[in-house]
Amino acid sequence: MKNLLTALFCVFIFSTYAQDEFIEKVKKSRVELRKDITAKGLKYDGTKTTYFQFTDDTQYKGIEIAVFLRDNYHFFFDGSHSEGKVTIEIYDLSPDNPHRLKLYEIKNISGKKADVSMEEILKHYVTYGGDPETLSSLHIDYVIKKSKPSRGAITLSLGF
Amino acid sequence: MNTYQKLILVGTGLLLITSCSNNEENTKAPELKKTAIIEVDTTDVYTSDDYDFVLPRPFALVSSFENAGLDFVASRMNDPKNLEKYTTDGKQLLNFGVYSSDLVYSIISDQTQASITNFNAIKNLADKIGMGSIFNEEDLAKQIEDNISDREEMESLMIDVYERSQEFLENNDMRILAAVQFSGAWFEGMYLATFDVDKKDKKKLSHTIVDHMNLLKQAIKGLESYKERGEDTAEVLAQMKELQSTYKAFDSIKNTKGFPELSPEEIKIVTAKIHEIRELIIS
Repeated sequence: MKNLLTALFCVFIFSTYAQDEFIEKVKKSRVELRKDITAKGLKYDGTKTTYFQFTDDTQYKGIEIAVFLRDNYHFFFDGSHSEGKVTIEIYDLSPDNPHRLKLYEIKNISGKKADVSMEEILKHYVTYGGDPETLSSLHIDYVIKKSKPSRGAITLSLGF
Repeated sequence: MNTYQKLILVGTGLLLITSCSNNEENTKAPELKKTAIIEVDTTDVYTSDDYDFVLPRPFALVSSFENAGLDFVASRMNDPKNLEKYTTDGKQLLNFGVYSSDLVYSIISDQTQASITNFNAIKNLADKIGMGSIFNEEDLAKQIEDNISDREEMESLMIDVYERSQEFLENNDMRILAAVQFSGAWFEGMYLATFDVDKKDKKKLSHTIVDHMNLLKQAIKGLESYKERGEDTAEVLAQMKELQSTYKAFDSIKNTKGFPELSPEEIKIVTAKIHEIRELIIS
């Protein structure tokens, strides 16, 4: 019994340490992303990290961003802390709306960084007949492909 | 929860298990050996919701009203004397947001004294909420005091304040509370922007209000998720839902084919309701 509890205790300690180490790495990458934004001569306007677990099934997570607050947002993504594949899809409307348009896609951000400006996204929106004045929010879907179980995180930082 | 807190919790739990199971060991050990399975739960508080919202920062919220007209009148801001009234968590969080917007309003209007007053109000509320430590890191408070009249620098420092408060709330399993702060900041921004509506360009003002009303649903979601809200915060939530229903029932919203344009009458109705709710928040 004592051996079992010792083993359990060790597993807990290892798991707790590993999780905190993962979070610390993600936090550092958020700082790096902020530096990337200012290095491009842009102002930083916030960050959102989406955390998940890779599993045997494809999963979806999404975020909504109000884009009318700044003239030209730039979206910076960091997938350095995702071992499995994650695709980023950007839409004009929420997932429950069947008429939504896919305005931009980043195929497999895992282990990489990528960025796109609102200006570029709006070009696609106009091509589909949309009026840029009416686009007050963007909806970003993370398509988390099935993969061996591990932790993952995608960070989005906003510049303008 | 940090590593040490977790370790203490896990250690205490295991001590309790050990002390209980030692008594049972003599009689039930053979059965335990057959069934013992080590299962480790790998989920944690850092698994995000399936759908989330990037909460706009107070600086972006308030400065977005500048195009529609935002004159500085000191008496429109929440009086720091009101701080003593905020004794519940809900009111403290909502008014942390209110004073954050008032601080931005002061900064973009080049009002140094008002900026200092509002910053002190934020610090006071941060202490009450238990996150006063966010100002100690890298001497953030001093940096703010030194740069209070520099809009550009303050914009960056305000983002630091916001991010640290969010990180503090995340680290302490209180992510939901960030949305409560946002609700307060949003209402204060809307409140400050909806004075003298008769003198403003109706088209611009309508566009700004319609854009911002899209954020109301997020403010409502934030307060709904906050289960420990007291009676005073519950009343604010009820009024917010009423505002949303009123807005959705406007002819210009129901019948629009493109981007809606509110009639002057509808702008006045929204304005009156926002001012009413803001009074409720700061009372």
